Amino acid sequence: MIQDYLNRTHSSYTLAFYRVGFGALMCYSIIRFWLKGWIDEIYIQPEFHFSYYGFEWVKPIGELTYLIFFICFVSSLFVLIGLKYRASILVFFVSFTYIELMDKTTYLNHYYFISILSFLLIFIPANARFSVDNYISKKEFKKISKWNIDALKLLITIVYLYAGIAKLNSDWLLEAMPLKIWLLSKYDLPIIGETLLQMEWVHYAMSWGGMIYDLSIPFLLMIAKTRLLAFILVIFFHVFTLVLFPIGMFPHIMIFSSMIFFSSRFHKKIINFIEKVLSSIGLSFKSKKTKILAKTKNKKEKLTVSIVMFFFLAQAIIPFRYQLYPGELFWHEQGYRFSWRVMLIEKVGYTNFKVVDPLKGTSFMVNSSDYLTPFQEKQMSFQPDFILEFSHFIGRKFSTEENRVKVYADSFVALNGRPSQRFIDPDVNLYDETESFKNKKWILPLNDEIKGI
Amino acid sequence: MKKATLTFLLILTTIISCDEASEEISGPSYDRGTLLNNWYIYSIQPRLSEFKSKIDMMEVASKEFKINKDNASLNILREKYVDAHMAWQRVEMINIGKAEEIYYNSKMNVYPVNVARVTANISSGTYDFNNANNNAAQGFPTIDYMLYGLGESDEKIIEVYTNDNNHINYLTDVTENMKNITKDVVGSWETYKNEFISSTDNTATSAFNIMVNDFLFYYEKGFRANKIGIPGGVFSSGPLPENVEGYYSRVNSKKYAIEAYNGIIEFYEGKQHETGNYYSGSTLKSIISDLDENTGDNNLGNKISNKMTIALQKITDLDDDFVNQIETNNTKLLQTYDAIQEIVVLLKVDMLQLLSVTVDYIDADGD
Repeated sequence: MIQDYLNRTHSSYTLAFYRVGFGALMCYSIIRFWLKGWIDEIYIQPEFHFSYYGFEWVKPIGELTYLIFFICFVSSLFVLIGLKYRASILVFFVSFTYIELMDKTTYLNHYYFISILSFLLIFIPANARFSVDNYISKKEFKKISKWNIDALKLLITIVYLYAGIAKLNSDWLLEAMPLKIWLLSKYDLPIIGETLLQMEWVHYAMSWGGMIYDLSIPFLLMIAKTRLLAFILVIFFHVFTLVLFPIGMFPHIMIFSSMIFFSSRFHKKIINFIEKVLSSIGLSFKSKKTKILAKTKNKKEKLTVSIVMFFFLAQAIIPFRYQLYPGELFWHEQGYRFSWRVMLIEKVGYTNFKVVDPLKGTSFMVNSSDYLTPFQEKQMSFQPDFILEFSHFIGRKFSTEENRVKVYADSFVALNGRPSQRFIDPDVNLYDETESFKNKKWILPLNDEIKGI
Repeated sequence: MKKATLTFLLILTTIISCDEASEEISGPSYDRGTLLNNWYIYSIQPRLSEFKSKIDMMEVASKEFKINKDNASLNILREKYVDAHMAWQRVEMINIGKAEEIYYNSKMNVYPVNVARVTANISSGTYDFNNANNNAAQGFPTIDYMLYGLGESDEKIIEVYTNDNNHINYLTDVTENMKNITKDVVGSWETYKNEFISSTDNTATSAFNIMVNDFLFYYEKGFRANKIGIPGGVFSSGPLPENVEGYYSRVNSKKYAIEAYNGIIEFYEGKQHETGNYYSGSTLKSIISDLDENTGDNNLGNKISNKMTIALQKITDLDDDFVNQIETNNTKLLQTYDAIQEIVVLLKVDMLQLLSVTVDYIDADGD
């Protein structure tokens, strides 16, 4: 039966459409990032960078960081036109992921989405049609394996479904938090700012609506009858979030991605249209010698399918790893990232560090802003792994070979409208604590309970 | 596509028309327009104009001293300096518009004074007050040093001024520059005030956000760190008494701190500068109180007020001269610091969370 499924085919127009769109969006997104001056601001200027556990060796490389972005840009351009596709998407995955690993201050779910999506695309022959590769190899394929398309659909389904599941908690559904805080502060939006967004029922309606949207949209997109409605909802939802929040490329990527659920006739129309435009200026990916073949062949299909299955198994499990940690997830954030928990918490922190010299018996407070950008300082102030990493930086800074200082955090955090409370045990010398996957016992528990998943 | 656009518009109009149906607005009255107006009329404008008149008087007194280098003129100048420095305590937090643009604060009150730089400037006779290296060689700390720190006795100080012209020239250049930049800042409000009052957006560049940020920044750095924390040794391995504000005139440090803290409380709670009465309409406190669902002493607005009262009492209980306080009982100063610090947490964490005001100026994506 599995073999039957693996043998099923789908029009290669769909993959061509997805490849072109993905490549174009990535090109645009890198240019945008570059032009906003963020490469310099986020990766080159700061003296210190926050690393992911196990990836401390991934760091910006000074001015050469621009080269990484350039490589990433060129590879996405190659993906767009389908030139040396397999190598290009691999280079894109590696360079994009390297960029994301350089500093976790900028962690965003949608960057993570792009990383794993590009990983998945390595195993999918998206150059089967409408690519420079066709021109070079003189081969074009009408069909590709159906599982290729289903894998992309599954990934998008996972994103929405897990985002919806994460909303099933008392803060989101019963308190309308944190949407209430955010919407109230958007008073300056025209028409709705002073009116709708100030009303409590709107906060609740949007919280519940968001949850229902996330949980149902992949299924509404799958069923042909509801697809148009679903797509209108997708546009409405993402345009709305774009207006309300500084959310960058995420809405564009999600609106585009949902189009993969459309029938291949739609993808064919789009590709044919682009072909027409190109041929009007004398460009074509086809030559007279191009042979049109029935279906792509993969000699290592079994291996590919196993990797993809393992990938999805990991994707299904990773968001639930938080269950291994005691206490409140939103508070300690152990197992929070890489789980499609989008816009769930409003956290503000204020964390300062005290350095104690055990030999002299003196102590002093460190001015974090001497070493961190305002953005880094903000992120550091409420995330325990950042606090630990920075306290080690401070420890190294002020220790000498003979004299190892102690570093204590004076930390207060407020979560989803609750009053602030002490966040880190002030009596624990963080310089002696090490980063690991083990539970961080020096995080003080939240004086409240958030019910739900 | 036409269909999609049509449906999209349909959904939008349905939502907007729902709004007309229900009149109940349960959100807080987030009246920033009134608040900015109140801030301008009752705090910014009167504080600045009072300060301007004080700084003008100080400048006049310095010119008098230039003509009559005697005890009487020196004492009048000292008195005018302390008056102006007192009035300054309520102005430093208003770091917006022209003041921000010309680094007004950095030119008026960076301490401790850089004595070496002042001495070098005096002997060279040429200096540019716009050079950032001269920030600690001008403004109130320099006046304080030149009126109290040039000699051990008043006679010796006057002697320094009569021995050469460089000293008195530097002193009057400093006072004149202070007068001129103050005039620029105060004058700029004539045109800036309308822009200020109408800038109610929630963006990093709107007047409301900048004022809230200025207030927080002043509370944390200008007040807490500069006046108490740094001299008390919170940020160094030992106390730094020479970093006390008005180090050379000695006895004024507590006076300045109390004046500044009252300025903070009045700005937060919404008191008119001239009468001390509460003004009507929005205040920073009323907005926070409305946003917080807790009531009574647990309401954030009241919590901050109550803790400010405690902190003010602790400051009042200190020695008139903070240098003396540090040398005799620094622990008491550090306890005062802790009381001030508790409010920083409430302002920067609890208040900012409720207001959802952008603190950093980086423009980054979120999700």
